[in-house]
Amino acid sequence: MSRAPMRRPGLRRSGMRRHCPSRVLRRSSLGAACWLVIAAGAVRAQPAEPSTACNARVDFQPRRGSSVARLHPSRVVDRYATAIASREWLAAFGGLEQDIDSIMARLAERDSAAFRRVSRALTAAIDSMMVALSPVLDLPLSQRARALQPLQIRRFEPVLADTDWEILPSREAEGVLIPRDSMTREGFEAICWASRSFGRLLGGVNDETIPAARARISALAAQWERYREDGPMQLPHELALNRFWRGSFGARSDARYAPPRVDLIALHPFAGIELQRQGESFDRTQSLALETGGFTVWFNDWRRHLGVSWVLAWDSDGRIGRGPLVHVSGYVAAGALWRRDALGKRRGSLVISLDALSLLNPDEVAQAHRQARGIAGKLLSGVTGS
Amino acid sequence: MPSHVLFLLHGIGQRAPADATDQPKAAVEAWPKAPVELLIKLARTYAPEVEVSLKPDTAGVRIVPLSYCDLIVRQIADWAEFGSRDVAAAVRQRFATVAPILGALQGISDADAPFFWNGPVDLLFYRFFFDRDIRTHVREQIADALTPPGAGDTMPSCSFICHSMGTSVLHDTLHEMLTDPDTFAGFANLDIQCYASVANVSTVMRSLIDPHASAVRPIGALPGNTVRASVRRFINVRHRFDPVVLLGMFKPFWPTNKRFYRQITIEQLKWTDVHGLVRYLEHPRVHIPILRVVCGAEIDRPTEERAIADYEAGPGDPCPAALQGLRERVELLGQTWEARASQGPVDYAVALVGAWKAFDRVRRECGQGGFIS
Repeated sequence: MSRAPMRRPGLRRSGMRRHCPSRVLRRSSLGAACWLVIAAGAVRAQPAEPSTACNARVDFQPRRGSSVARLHPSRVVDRYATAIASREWLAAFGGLEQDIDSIMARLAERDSAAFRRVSRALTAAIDSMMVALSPVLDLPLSQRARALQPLQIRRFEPVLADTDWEILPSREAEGVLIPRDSMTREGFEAICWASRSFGRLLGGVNDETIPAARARISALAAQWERYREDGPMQLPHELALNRFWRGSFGARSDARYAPPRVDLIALHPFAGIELQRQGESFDRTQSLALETGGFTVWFNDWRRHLGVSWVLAWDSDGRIGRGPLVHVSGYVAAGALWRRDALGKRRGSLVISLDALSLLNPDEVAQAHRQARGIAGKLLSGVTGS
Repeated sequence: MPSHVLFLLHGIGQRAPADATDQPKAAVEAWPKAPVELLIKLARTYAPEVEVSLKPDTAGVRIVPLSYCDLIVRQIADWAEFGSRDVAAAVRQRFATVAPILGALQGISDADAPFFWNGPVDLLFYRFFFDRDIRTHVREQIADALTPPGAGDTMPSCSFICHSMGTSVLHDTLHEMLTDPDTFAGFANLDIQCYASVANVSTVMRSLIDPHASAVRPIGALPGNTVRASVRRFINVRHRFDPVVLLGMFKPFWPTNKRFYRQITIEQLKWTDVHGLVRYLEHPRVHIPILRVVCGAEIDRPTEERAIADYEAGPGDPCPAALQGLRERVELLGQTWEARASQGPVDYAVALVGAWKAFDRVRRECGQGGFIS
């Protein structure tokens, strides 16, 4: 390994020249000592001041006067803006790779062994990524994210590992540390900026797929919101029953993330109003009802649902009525009931839920709810309705 | 667009103040205040050059609190509106044959019910009832914060701090995103630089996959696994006397003496709120490793050691007897848990009622007011 070409740049960067004038260097024993220090400095070059080049949170522009500023992510984005905007990724990658290769080769001649080791690892990773990336870019956008996964595109972004920045972790090995104190400032900048810039372009390739994914995620969230907000409330035992039922029969793979299409109704008590014809008018009475079994079906992208159940309803005298109930929204449930009256005569009535009543007469709902809560609570605790 | 997004996700028992008119919204707005303020303050101390804020247009690190408590608060309110907050107990009594899964809830007495409804119930909500709903809700918030605003922008890197039950919710949410590129496309290739799991309960709450082998593990751990690892730094934090973590511990079976993993165990019992996220985060053992990755804060070892020593020497809650009582009760809870024949999520929720009671008692003994008024 030739050390000679490395010494002079090391000398310039480390500022040793000020302390070791050339005359002293040539003629005195102090000069010999200076050379020893300089030689050590070439291998372990101290940056003049701390660099934030690896920290994307603060390093928004290249340091003024840096000879490797060309590799800074902001410059790369500016330089290849047209290619990036037109999604000509290979052109952008190709240009960046050339810049990286030439700058790394230039620095390798005068920087430390540590720099050369890290720069070799980085350029090798870039080379292999370029080979693997080309076929990925030919794929339809819908297949791109899956194809990018094995390439580990996020390994280029530097992450601080205690005291040193790290790049290029892999499944098999920990990442490569960038020993900042063992290379020149420009060497450190070149590695950080090259790695960040390459990672940023890879991010751009990946992020082309984001809008479609974002739309899918939003659509799923909206479906769940409609299911949650508009559907009938489920009690814990119904939730458990539906969970068990779906677990047993499985969800279709395309419905892995979507809300359920069908929910079972079971032993669901509710308070309602019964309307019964009395001569020319309707009698209205509080009713305590229990949906014994049924189901709710969702359709039209969870915008509509229809529920059907079989209902038992108790009037204030404890007589039981039976009949079907239909839910047409989260607020409206209505059904027909038949029960025998005190004279043994079979009589029909209409039962509607209190939420449905709120559509007809909002003022009565608050009071009715207060009464109904007590009734429902009693049913659940086994005080009535047994 | 920020360079980095730090997501925070809360744990169990996030509720709104009783007088809030919109309870779900109030719960969402209330919980992140203290941890966000603390993190911003700490970032100013250790990384003053990095802009850290809640603002979407920050250039540095944007903090994004994630929530799912609104769904739970709303559901509990619905059930309360329906009849009684004690619905589950009533259902158990009357319809036990229909819902055998709730049978284990019989271990909770009526007197203990408030403790159950103010925290441990969340575990059952997530694990059995609303898991997909909650994951969808959290996923949308993550996607919302990471979606680049313009065509020329790129998705920022991100980190996560999750707490308690949030460790399970976030684990499952991310695992789904990271392993299904056909559905979540580019979000399956997130750049997760730090995943800090505080009071990690993902193991006992596991539903989709074993958390030790999921996609939410550090890159380099389990190299032969078919599920790709996606996290650059995994920080697992627990307190030795936090009963929530004691029951169902996260214990990786892959080598943990690597740069990609850091286990932090706090030994010193200083606060009655031993499970609180803020109490965890204010410990330098916890926040320094997190800030290193999240902010790129170059904090040297002597500074770290000094901060730890100063913190540990500082005052804690002025009730050593109560803290000693908590220590003993936690140890007893641990032994009781170990002796249980079944250690599923329902058993866990029941056991946590004991933990909540212990917290309540130590807070009262310490003159801080109980959990349950």
